[in-house]
Amino acid sequence: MLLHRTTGERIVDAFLYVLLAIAAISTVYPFLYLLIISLNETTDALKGGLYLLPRKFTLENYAYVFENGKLARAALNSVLRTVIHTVITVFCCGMLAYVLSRREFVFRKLFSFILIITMYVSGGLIPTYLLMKSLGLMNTFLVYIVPGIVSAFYVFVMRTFFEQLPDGLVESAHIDGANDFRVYTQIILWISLPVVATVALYAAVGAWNSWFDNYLYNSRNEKLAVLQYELQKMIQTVETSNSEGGDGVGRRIISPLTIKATLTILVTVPILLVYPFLQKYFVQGMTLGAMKD
Amino acid sequence: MSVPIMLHLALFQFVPLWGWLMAFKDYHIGQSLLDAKWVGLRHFRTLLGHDGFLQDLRNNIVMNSMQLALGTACAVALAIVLSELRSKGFVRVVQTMTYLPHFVSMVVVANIFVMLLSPDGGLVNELMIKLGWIDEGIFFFGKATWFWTLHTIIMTWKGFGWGAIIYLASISGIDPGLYDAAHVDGASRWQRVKYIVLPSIIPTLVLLTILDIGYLMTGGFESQFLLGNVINSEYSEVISILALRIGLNEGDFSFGTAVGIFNSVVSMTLVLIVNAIARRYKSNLF
Repeated sequence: MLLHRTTGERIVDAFLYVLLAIAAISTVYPFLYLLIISLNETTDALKGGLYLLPRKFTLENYAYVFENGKLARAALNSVLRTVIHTVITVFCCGMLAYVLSRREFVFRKLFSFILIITMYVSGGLIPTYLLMKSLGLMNTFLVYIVPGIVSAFYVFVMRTFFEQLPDGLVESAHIDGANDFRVYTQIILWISLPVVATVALYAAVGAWNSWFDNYLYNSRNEKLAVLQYELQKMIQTVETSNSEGGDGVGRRIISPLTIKATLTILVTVPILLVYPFLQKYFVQGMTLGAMKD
Repeated sequence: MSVPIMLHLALFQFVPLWGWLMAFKDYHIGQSLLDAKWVGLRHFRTLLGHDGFLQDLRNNIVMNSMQLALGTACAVALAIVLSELRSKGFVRVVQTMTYLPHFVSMVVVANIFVMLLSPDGGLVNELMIKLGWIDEGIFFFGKATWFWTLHTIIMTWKGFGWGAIIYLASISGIDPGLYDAAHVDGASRWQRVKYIVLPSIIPTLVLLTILDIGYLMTGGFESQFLLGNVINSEYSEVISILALRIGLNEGDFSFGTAVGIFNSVVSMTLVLIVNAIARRYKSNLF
């Protein structure tokens, strides 16, 4: 880049630094604001004026959320669906990707083509809904797991990685008598950790963030609710009945304001926890996925 | 070992296509799809003349165009500014902060903005009252005509940091020799951006725009569904929400399926057309 900078350029630089700082703060501050509200005592929070720190610090709101049976159950469902979905989806997508990466597999072109079609053409909301219904998946936990097992995007990302692995690796394992399934589970998966991690993180974030399948297929069974769906219900109810006041629960006074803030923070925290790991991989994952066939 | 997975694909991806028949028949719940009466294109004609449909189509086109324009502009601007700065640590921190919202669910984002913009006690209203700009809180999501702008700002907020990554990648691919040559020739910073950086971004920009244009008429659902409400529905409802409302909630499966087919066909056609145009400039997708 430039070796010397003129005064004019220095001024522009300073201006750009300020501009970027504003952009970054305005991205993060809304999260911070909710965190402050969630850590403040409820009736006091309703008075407003909370900007940088909680005025009356309390963990009551978190205690309320954790003690609320419905929300605890939803949290468990969210964790379960995320873990199960991630493990199964990564394993199955990787398996298909491995097969498609083997040059000796005769149908690889055909299968890849079928997979590409699924990225662009879908039956749409209602036919899919009716399929779930006729398969008996409505109001079951399985509807969170089974339909999402294969994702063409994940398969292509993993296939691109597997294709770069040396052929001799698989061949020597074959000579030693290992079948393809063993080669996949005992060799390929372990030496492909970067791509496995990338796809796992994408899958986990996707599963954790989803709520629409809950809304569509499982809204009649409260025991199957996930956190995002509970939050969605709260937004929509508060939206329509805007002047909802404080709601006395036991000895505590709890308002929708602080509970919504608390729940939002709780739903966001797991993402923040995986974020540092995610960051290392996702740019790589994105460039892999963007590669053409 | 790929057989079970292909069977899964057949079941969950291709069996629903069989349901497309519904759009050409008069299907009622409980009936077998084969027994239903053929009605030809009647549902599609109803759809195209449906007031709600035309309104939703307008909302789709306007909101997606606004989002595409502002979102892309902000992402490109962020990428250029980031690439111009010397402090790598600062750049990394800004990047980490700006792409955070991409990973957070739309439910969370919707909730954050509903809270920030709430008429009683929302931060934005509170500050404006304190500054004496207004006397009482404004119900932002209650002003139907504001919805397009609010939606565009929120979606840009959610996506611009993430969007910048790919432009940064193409900027970092620029041959440093070009910068040196420009420097020797006495190019100003603005000239460098104009003649070196921008041209290097354009292929990526065109490619991504092609992808997005495919969704111009039909894309979007989650954000409008979560941010919209009864009061602003005239400006917030999009075609996919219509399909959900009339198709599932009101039980008119044939109509809902026709909407779904319309979405698929229009999106595919748009992508193919734009791709053909881009091919002339050698920046086509396929």
